Amino acid sequence: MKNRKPAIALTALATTAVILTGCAGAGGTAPAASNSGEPTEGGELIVASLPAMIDPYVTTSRSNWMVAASVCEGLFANGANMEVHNGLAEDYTYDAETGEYLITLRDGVAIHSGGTLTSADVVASLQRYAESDAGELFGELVSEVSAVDDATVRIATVSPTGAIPALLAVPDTGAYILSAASLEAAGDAELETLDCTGPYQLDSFTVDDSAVVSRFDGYVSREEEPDGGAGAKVAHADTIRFVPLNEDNVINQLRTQQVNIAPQFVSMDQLAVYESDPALTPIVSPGSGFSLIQFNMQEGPFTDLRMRQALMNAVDPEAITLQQMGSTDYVESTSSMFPSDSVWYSEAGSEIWEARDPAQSQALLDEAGYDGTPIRLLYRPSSDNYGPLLQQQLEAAGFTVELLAVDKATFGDTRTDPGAWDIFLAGGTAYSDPLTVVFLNDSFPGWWATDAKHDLVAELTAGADFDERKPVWDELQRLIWEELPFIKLDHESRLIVTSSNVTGLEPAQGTARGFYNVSLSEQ
Amino acid sequence: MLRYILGRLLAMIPTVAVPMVLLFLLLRLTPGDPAVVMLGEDASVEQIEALREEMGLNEPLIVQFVAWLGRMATFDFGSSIFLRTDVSSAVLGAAAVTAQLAIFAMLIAVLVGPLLGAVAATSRSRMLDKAMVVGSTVGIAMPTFWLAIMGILALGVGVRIFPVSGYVPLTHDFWLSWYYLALPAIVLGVLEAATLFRYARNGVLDTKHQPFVRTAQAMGIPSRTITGQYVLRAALVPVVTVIGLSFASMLGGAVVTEKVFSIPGLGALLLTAVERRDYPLIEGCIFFIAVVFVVVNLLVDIVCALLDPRIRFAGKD
Repeated sequence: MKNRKPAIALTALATTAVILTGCAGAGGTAPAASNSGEPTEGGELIVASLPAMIDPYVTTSRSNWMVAASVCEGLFANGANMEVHNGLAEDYTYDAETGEYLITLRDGVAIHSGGTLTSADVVASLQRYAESDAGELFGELVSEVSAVDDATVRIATVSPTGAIPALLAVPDTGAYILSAASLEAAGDAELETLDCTGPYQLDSFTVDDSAVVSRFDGYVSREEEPDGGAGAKVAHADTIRFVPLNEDNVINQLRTQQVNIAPQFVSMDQLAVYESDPALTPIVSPGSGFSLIQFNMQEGPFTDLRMRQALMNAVDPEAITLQQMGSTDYVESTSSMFPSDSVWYSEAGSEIWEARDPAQSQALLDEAGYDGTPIRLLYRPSSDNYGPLLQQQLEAAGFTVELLAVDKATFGDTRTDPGAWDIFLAGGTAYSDPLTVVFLNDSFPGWWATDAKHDLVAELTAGADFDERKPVWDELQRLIWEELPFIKLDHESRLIVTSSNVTGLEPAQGTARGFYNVSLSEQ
Repeated sequence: MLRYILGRLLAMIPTVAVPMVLLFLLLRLTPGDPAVVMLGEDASVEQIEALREEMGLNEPLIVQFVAWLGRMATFDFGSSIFLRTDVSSAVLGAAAVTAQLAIFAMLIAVLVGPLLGAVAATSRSRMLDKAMVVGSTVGIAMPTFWLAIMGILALGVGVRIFPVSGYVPLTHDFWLSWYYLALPAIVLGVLEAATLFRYARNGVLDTKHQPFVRTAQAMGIPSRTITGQYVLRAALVPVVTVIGLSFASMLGGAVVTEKVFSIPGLGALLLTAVERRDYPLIEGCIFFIAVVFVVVNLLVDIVCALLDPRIRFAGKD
């Protein structure tokens, strides 16, 4: 009799489980039916990336532009390799003498709330962008944005510069064009909706819950071939739901199609596993970013160039790559700040990087009079977990290293205090123009502000076009290696993982991206 | 007993207030603030400083403290910096989700743990008892995240009985809501059941050797009556204490479970608030958790007294 009790208890639990199982299949979102494996119209695409704020102007964090990238457009657009194309701009002229841009808008572009795009919308948007944190550089370079007529915008610059189109290219800047009416209605407050033009329109946004966008039937697409954020855009899915990324469980969400796209999947080391899983489709975007070791140029031991050179000689980038990615297959070993498929690729200064030799480190340290005072290495284990490995490499070369492992908020705060750190680990993304490389700003923590740099940046800014600016960038790229404000490590690929029923998602560099031209197929 | 309860309720004030003051100080003294998080990685030092000024984060600590004290005195937790909503409603909304999960998990734990514990105690030293003791040891030693991932792989991805993550509000679909919580509740419930099993088994074994049991046996009372009416009741006292504390712990946020299963509960809310340095939201969450702990402790003490009349409050009754 006694022996029956556990059986009864287990049966009760099993019965509960079976009853609950009966509910299976009640949830979940199925795409519209189609032929097996064929792209189809309709369905709900679920993307595991939700910004903390919808307003593209209030933050410099590119991942926060992920929803805006599907819903809104800019005057210019980044292609898959970050080159700059026309977006809402039909055409433009630039007068290198006066530094004035005349931008003609595309005709008949419908806005979500009704009506068509006019220069008043562009002026209001760019004025707001210029005053925002995200558009600080644009604001510094531009003296006036005005409407010539309904379809023409004039941008006057403080001094001639050919960089404006790159600074206004979306999705990897916050220069989205919204309706003047919605901006006026928001006043100084943060935007809570996005009234603009794009293949989708914003239906709802709840912080930490979801953002839902649905097809905008009035959208008038460009006709060029799709290329990253540029060219033709088609809303295949009826709706796109953005949900918070669950880093611990996203792969299982993808396997069961509870989520369709994980666009910010950082870790490459499990790529072989994902490739062998028929439920998953990994998409690798080469040249999408790089790791970086930033020096404190304002205070401490690394104000001495010999100390920076000693550290450069001590670094073994291959070991770091192996630890970070598990393989060197998906990295491009280059000294250039831009990957080899970028028009801005430059090998200037590469001989300095390639000649590094750990044996030289000790001599340079002795020359600099290094007394073994611990070097404070600030890093976030959550994103740059090679801190301990770098410590090992540096200590082998004669440095004494103190690791400061912190969370994201502490990292962001600590690095603004020049007295609190000596080097920190960060990461760069793909850029459309050298002026958008944030590490080159004087005010970026590290505070690289030498006369040689100022001269070259001024010349680069003033250049009328690419042909004029590229040689200047080559000089600046060389100066980076000569003055060593930071050490840029190898270019890395970035990984997007989708469920196997997603088609049409092409690799693209940069952080933010839209999810048009993507469809769901029935498996 | 009434006096005792009133005394305990009054003692709640410093029990909650002192940690809240410490929390205020710790938050402000910890590096990192919401301005840094809000502006993002590429923000310049000047931009961060300007936003700090705008948000009042550059005010002297004492000025911030006085303002905070005034708000706390009226239970005004303000608005969340990132959620842009009232802290009280955000916390209560998330707590309701956590409570639903905690109730489901505790139901499983209470149904399984004490029952198996009693069964094991009555079949002591037999194979069944030994197997259950080993099983409970494994259960207690198992990390939550590991069992959660294994549960997802087996029942979510493998045989696809349960969804691998997510939450459906009760108001949206009653049964679907419980269904989505089933797997996380089983994970939490199984782990909790392992603990309750040990307490119940030990409690029953201890009680069976008490003099009053021998007396009852000598009086010829049937063994089943002794176990059912006297032994189990007395053995439940430590079990109820553990249930109470575990329940309070879960209400305070089953952080790992909520994070793995994407459940928008109090634990997930608090974790996100800490990552973002959303000061008002952290304070609201901690206040709620502190109150829950104190109240549940009080309730546990009352229930224990009702179960075992030998327990006296403060030696006065």
